[in-house]
Amino acid sequence: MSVAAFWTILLIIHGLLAVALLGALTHQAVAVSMPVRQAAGNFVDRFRAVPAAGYATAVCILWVVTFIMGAWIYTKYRITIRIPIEQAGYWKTQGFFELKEHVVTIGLGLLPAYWYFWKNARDPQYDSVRKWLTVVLAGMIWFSFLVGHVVNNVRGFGS
Amino acid sequence: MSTTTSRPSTVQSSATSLAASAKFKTFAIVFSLTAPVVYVLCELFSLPLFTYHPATNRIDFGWAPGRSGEGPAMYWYGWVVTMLIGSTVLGWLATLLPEGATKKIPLVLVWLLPILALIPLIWSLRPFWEKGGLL
Repeated sequence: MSVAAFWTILLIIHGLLAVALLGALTHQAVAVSMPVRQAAGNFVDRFRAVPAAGYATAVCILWVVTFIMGAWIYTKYRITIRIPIEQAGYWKTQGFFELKEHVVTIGLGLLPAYWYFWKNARDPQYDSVRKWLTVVLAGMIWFSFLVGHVVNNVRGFGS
Repeated sequence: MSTTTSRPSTVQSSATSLAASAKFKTFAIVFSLTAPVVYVLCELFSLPLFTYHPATNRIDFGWAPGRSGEGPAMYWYGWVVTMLIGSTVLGWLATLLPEGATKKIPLVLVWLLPILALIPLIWSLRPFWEKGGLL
């Protein structure tokens, strides 16, 4: 297996984990922001009607595993991707990637509170913070996913 | 009646002892409150626990510049570890305080601080925004 193929496979696994995390957090954020009031009917209602509390541990695990995979790939990215991106003058693309690093790291730091609030979903004093924290995390993962996708389009492993 | 998220009937029964622990609650909230602050301070004041040089697989303690002929230096790993250690220590220290002290923390800060933390981080990236073309 070539070096480029190895890192590309890791990147695809990283991307697939991110897709799973994106789906879980989006379901949860929509469910907690717009809870359904009656039995689910159409697609949108069913999308909102997931048992959101059950996603919390999976979201934490997915965030950590995706983060670790990204941190591993980052060592190769720094040399084989970022330098050509800078040489090509795509400074804003690189800037957004740097911001993505910051965003996912801050999101990592939010996971203990996020997990605690969801594991105590019956406590009404946490309703607001649980909702907004979930929405913030969902926004973070959407931003990070899209930036990662664009950066890979600009310069992927093996290109 | 909601069929979904607000009060799922399965949550109470599945709550672990960790989720029911007052000390863990204090730890989790203080960890998540301090993590963005510690991370921003690390980034703005260049305070990584270590510097990684990916081309040579070398690690220096603290901040170190990239060496000539040895490729770039990476500080992000050091910032992440500093944040995790710092927030863990602060969270643990908070568990030593009387419970009443930590109950005064406004919970809104848990999701507001991370958003506010992005402002100095975006500002710190201004060299990228000021250079080059559209992308």
